[in-house]
Amino acid sequence: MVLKLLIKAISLTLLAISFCLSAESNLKVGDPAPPISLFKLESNKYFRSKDFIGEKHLVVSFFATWCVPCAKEIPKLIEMSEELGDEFQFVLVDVKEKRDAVKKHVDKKEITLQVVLDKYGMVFEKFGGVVLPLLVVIDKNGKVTYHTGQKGYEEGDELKLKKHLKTL
Amino acid sequence: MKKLLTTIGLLSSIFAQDGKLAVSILDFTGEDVKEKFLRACYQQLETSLIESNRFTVIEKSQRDELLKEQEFQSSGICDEACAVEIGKMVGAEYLMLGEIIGFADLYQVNIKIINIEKGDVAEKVTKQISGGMGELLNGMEEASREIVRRISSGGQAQQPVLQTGLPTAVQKTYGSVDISTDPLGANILIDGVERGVTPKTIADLEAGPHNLTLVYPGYERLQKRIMVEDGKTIPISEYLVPKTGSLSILSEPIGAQEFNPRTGQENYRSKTYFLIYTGFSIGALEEFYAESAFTDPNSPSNLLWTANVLDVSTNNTIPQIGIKFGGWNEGIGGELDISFLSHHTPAQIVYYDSHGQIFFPPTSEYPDGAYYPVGPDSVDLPDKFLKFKSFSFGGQVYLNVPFIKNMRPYIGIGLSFGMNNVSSDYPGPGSYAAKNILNFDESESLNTTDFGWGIELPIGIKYISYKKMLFSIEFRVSQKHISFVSSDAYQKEKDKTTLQTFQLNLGMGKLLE
Repeated sequence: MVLKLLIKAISLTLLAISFCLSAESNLKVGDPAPPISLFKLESNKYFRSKDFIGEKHLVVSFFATWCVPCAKEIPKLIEMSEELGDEFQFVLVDVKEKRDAVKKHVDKKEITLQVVLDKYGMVFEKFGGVVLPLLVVIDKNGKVTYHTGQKGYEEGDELKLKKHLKTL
Repeated sequence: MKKLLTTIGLLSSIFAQDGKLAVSILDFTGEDVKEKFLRACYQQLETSLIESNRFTVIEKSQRDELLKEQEFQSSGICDEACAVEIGKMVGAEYLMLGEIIGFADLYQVNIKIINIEKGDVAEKVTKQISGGMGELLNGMEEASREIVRRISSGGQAQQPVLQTGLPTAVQKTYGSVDISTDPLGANILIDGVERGVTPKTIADLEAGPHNLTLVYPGYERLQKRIMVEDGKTIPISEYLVPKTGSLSILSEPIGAQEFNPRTGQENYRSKTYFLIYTGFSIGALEEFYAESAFTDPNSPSNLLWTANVLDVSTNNTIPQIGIKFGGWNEGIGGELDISFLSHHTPAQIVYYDSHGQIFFPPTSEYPDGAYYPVGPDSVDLPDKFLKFKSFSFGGQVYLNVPFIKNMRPYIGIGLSFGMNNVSSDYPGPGSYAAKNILNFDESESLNTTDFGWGIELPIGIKYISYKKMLFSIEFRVSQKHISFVSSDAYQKEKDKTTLQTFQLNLGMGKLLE
């Protein structure tokens, strides 16, 4: 029993350390964005970021249904996407949740933006994700121009984002 | 009619499903099989899975493109770990790894189904196909149906999945078998396909006859024909017969523990369980110490009287009973123990070692009060003069002596806390003495409940029977420290004792998953 607890404690510590290390990503503003190829929420069809290169700027928000700040941010993004028009493609990336749960949440919250599923959290990790929500902007050339890092979301951040999007 | 309704229900639930499971098949590898055969088999499996309408199949071209985009480096042959990585990159729930081995007139097809989320081999489909290319392709179609069944039984749909465009499949019925063996841990093969180790319930078998084979190293292989019935679970329990012959195992250093990782015994190296036990015990009151609640009016720093009672035996009133929740890992285990113990003093002569006197306050007969010596040196106690009931909650840690087959001998130590009730059908001991000596009787019967603690020293053997039942026999020395106040008025006294019991307990329980 004691041994089992000890092993558990050690493995949890190792897991936490490895998570911290793996979450460490060098992705910076100005770097080429890692590709996003994930299934859409509505069907098993891929959403692919490469389809938008040379076409639209991508505004990518990583979220989860349990994330309270995400729920505050998403309505602002919906508003912004309606306001900014076709130049921008907004996409919400759900991190590590089941399709059914996400679908229920999206219906309940009346989310009209494109939602895709990062089932195993691989894309979130590649974008240096540690904290949800994470907002990243990828311009038409496939470069990261905006990255919220580990700040999450606070009210008023959307104004900063809108200002940035208008410079693109 | 009922069948038709069920079928309609099933079909509609399949069509209503928005998100199909995403699967992908990696290139088949082969031994003594032509490259074009491998490609044809791959294509056939892919087509059959698409036609099953149950999955989104991520095709090879799409998969390769996604992997290239994500700069996936492959070293050629892909193992399970590599398959998991690929699965994560393309967003698949399951990935198939196929292998075909060719013999003179037989092909063996092995398909591993990797569960990407869990990162392990969820199922393995093995088929032996004799004949040529046509039979091999038919075999792939059958394999695809098997894959659909295996994934759906372990995945979302609990019902067998029906193939669209195959009306005959609708009439298929399924049942289960619950297989257990003694010893546990035998490999199960049904129709030659590995299906795990015993004990196991296999829930997706087509109704009808099947060949069951049970294999356990060192035991005779057991083969029998079983009949699976629609919607029923057939229990199968088999004793495996050891192969005759002897085996000597030498190790350096001597004393290594032998176990076979393919057998269930390894699983018992770490387990949780519960046990309900009961049994008989004999006991004794050790160190019964009584003292007056008052000090001597003539010498206030001294107690009025003290007494040590020697050698009081006790008996079980009703069998003790308890429940244990515990677990072990390797050689160490622990338990939580909730128990109830009831003892009483039988009729016996009890000897005192007493000092001081009982003081009686002034009365008209004795205007200055009176002292009487505590005594006599012995009292003839009637049956159930003292009754003890102890409800304890405790914890134990124990060491397991090395595993002998399904036996786990252990020795441990424990601590318990709980409430002890002491009662008597007679007035308290002081009053009883007073009554007998002085013919003085004014006390109420004793009935007091107090908090107490105890030490337990268990030694026993647990036996794991098949079906994961657990039986135990335990000898336990238990000491419960009890204190109480008895009598009242000027005979009020404080008593302290240790109830020591020697218990023999038999237990029955179950290993938990």
